[in-house]
Amino acid sequence: MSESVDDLVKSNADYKAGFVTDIESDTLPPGLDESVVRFISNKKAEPDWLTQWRLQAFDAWREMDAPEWAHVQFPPVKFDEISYYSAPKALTDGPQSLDDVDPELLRTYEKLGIPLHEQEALAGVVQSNPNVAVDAVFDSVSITTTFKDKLAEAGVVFCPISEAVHSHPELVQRYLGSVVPQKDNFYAALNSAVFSDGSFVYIPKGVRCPMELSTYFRINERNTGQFERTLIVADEGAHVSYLEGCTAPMRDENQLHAAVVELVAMEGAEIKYSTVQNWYPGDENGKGGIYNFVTKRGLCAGAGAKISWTQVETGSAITWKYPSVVLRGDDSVGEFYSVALTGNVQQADTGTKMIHMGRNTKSTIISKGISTGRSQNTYRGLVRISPTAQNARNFTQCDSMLIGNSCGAHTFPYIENSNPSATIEHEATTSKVSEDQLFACQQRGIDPEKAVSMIVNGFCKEVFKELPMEFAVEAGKLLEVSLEGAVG
Amino acid sequence: MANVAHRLAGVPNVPSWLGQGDDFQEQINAALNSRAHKERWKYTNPTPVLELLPLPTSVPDLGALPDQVTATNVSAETVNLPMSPTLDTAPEAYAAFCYQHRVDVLTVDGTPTTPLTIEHGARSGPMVLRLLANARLDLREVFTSDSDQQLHNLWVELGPGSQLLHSRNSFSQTTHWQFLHVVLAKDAHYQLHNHSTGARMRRQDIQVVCAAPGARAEITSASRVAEGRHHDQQITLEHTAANTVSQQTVRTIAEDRAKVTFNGRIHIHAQCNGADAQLSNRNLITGKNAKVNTKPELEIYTDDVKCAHGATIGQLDADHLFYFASRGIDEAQARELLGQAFLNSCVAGPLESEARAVLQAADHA
Amino acid sequence: MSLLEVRGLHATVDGKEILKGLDLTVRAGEVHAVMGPNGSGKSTLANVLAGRPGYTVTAGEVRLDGHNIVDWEPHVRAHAGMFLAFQYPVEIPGVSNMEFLKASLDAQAFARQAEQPGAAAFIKQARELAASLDLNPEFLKRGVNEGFSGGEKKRNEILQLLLLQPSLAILDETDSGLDIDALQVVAQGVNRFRSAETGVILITHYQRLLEYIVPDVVHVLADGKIVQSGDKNLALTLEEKGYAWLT
Repeated sequence: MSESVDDLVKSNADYKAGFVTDIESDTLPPGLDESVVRFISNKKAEPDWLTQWRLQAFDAWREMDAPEWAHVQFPPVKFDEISYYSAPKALTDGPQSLDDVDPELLRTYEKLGIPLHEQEALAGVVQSNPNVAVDAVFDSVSITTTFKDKLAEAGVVFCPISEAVHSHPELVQRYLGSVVPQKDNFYAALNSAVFSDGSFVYIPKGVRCPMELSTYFRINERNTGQFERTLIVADEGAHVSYLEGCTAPMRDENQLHAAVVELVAMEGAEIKYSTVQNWYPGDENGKGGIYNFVTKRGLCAGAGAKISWTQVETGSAITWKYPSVVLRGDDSVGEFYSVALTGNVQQADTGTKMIHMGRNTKSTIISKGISTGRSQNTYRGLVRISPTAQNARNFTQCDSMLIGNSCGAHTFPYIENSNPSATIEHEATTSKVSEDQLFACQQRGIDPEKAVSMIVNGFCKEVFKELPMEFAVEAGKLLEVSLEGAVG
Repeated sequence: MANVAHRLAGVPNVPSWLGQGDDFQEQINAALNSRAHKERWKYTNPTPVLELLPLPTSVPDLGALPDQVTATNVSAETVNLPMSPTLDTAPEAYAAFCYQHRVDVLTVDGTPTTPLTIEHGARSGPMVLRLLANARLDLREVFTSDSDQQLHNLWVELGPGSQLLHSRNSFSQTTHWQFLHVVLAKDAHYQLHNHSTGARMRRQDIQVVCAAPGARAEITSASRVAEGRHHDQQITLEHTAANTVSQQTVRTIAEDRAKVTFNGRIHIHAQCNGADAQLSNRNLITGKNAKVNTKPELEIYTDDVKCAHGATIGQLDADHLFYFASRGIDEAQARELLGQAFLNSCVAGPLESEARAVLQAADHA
Repeated sequence: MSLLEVRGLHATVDGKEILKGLDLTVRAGEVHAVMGPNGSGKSTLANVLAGRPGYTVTAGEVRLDGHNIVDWEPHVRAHAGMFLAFQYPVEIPGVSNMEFLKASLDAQAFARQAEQPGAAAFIKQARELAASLDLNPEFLKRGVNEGFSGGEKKRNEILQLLLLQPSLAILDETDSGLDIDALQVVAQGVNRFRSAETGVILITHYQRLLEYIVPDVVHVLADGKIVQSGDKNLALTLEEKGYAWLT
């Protein structure tokens, strides 16, 4: 006889990106104290102001308590059992060209489908798109950057942050921590102390970045938390679209990922930040997955600025992130489009904060949560309209889909309004993949797995259409693969 | 919250169903400092409510009781209410039993032909209302005191197949805490018409549990919060059984410097297939410097359910105002008429005419 | 060999036995009407044949082209040539009609190890069928049955019938809720489908549909069994005398 949706749950057996590269690593022993912070700073030959900045963050972190959220349970992170720095040995002095890169590393990237060679990029790994420049981060050290020349022509700076500290110190000093200060929260403080690398992007006035920028990175060594730091600054009238995607290998111990992403959009500028995230979610009992505790925030600093966050999250054992936008400039716009899929025993507590401060600001939030297995999927959002935010507008739509009877879907939208001229609309619905819809598809010959995938895809359509094309295809496939684990 | 621990230390007679003396004191303190409690009191200071708990109370005026209704006064010990909600979400409501050792219990058996009107004084001790199987009651609560410190605490148990029509007009301008807890058995039906104005501090905690299949709860609430007044409504709707239905429609007008908070939590427990829960919260701001906080929450642990909620905050439509102006109606009057229209659909039930009279006028001291 | 052979079929829903030993044989080229009072098991029959979850066969056989399909999953039965036009077609928001139809066609082509239809040819055919069934071709871009009237939903079912070209079509009260015009459009579609290789089971409560789709055999289903069979005149008799006449 035919199976009901419930019967179709089975364990996740085939995580495609689950393999480990065997490379000698320059890894610090576990533990965190001032000397570790200094070591990291010295490794990168950082100027003294930055070393001090890190130490301030470290001091602040020591005074803070790890935060807790109601719907996320996990054994406490043992911070002194994590190593805070790991760089593959062969690259301690940095490669001069791709020929200097350890071939084993290059093979890893090939397996992940990351284009390092320009020819490879043309042949198409990131969805056959020659217009995607890639900065690959491997365990804390950026390996290489492609298309530097084309970007240099346009005046666009796109390089590892460790490089930017030396090549554009005034920019880094001005903007680092301007959106997420060191003391902002526990994990941001930790990141500020021990961040080892990430992307730095600067788009000059009036420039439309000629291609989409992208970063792939992965966590490789055991017990190394990944603490990358990204800073993107779009000057007046500039436009940039940035893609972040990542995969991680299978591990027995949980691994911590505490990144910080800061976006600054000046007057008339636009930043689009898209993430397709596929961290290892842990096995069917949650063992070995990634803890993804990320602080992402954008500041619309000038009038008419616009920041859009688009994300598809299917991985990590625990996801805890609230990409946010501070709408300071008059007429600025913030957008958040998200699909979060949880399965097995994953827990996600994610959402966004839209802080309206300027006049005539607008925010749009579309969140789609899909829960399967025994997972818990929570949307937590804040829309805050300050007294100065004349004529603010917000529209929020949160939809949850539950697949199976053992998971949970929760919505906690905080709406705080202090300006009488605001217009705020919030809607949320909960549904399941109905047996009727499933049967209708099956009767037309569509097998149950494909049927669920189609229906869930349809559910996520509004978000998928906001993704840059390169990602939209990958997102659809990722959803299919992830659902495969949960249904059928 | 050390203050409360201190106060409770001197209180005898913690009913045994609540715990043992010192143990309970610790539990209460923990509950008052728990995350859940802090969430529920995020926008309102709980101290004034805690200060109300030990004050002397009076028995409300029940008038001439119909035959089907019996009223008794029993010791808090015998009441033995279920610990639902958990202590964390309403420790004050349980603490009330420690201070007020006598509880008024009203039992309804059958269908009275006349409504039961309770005229409350400033403060009542906890009251328990039990409708036996298939009983029906038209309950009206009136709060006419102008005392500055008001506290009311009602626990309702609806037996299988019973029906309660509950109307409540709360228009005092003082400090007033109202706690209401309703549990529905199989096929029970609960309807609440809540009308309220803002006050120096108005806090309404409403907790409804649809505890058996066929249970059905409907809440409508209309509130006008005048200049500088406060209004904080926390409504929790728990679905702990399959095939239960709830519907909430809450509308509030916030005038100048009003402080309005709404939290509507819908919690559908696991294995509750066929639950259907809907919530609509609309807030209209008509004055400057009003602060409106709304948080409609969904906590869902079953897939085969229908849930939706919506919350809006907005002002009167400029087009509507212009339409009135073009017909010669001045802006002030237009605003008044439109505001009334906004609340109107939620002003209903046996006490609606009194409610309309009060909620219509935009000016309240 | 018959297209469909049902022997001694017993089926329960929610623990209650609805089909109590049903026999039915449909040969290729034939149109069978199944009529009966409410509660007789008409829809249950349709759902059991198509394999809807929640319906349990407790005894008997259902042979499609000689294969006993009682344990087959719904999509496998579809690949084998079975089609059910639903009494209450479901909406699937976010999934366009186009996407749905293509996925169905591709799945069946794959199962039959035939070539998948090219996109352009498929779109052309879908549009033509839509037009012939009085459906605005723009509907292909909308979600499956989203915002459709009752009549449009039924016509969408017939469009799928004509596109997928099954061997056995079961129409579950396709005529309910339709006005005369819609009824005629639907009937024309079904008659287009009729051929020497295909079979049709029309489940209907009223005789009206049978004036437009003339059946070869009429069966009366009562209390979970076929109690009488005859030619098209049986339908007229039922119309005149009502179902009580049989008992």
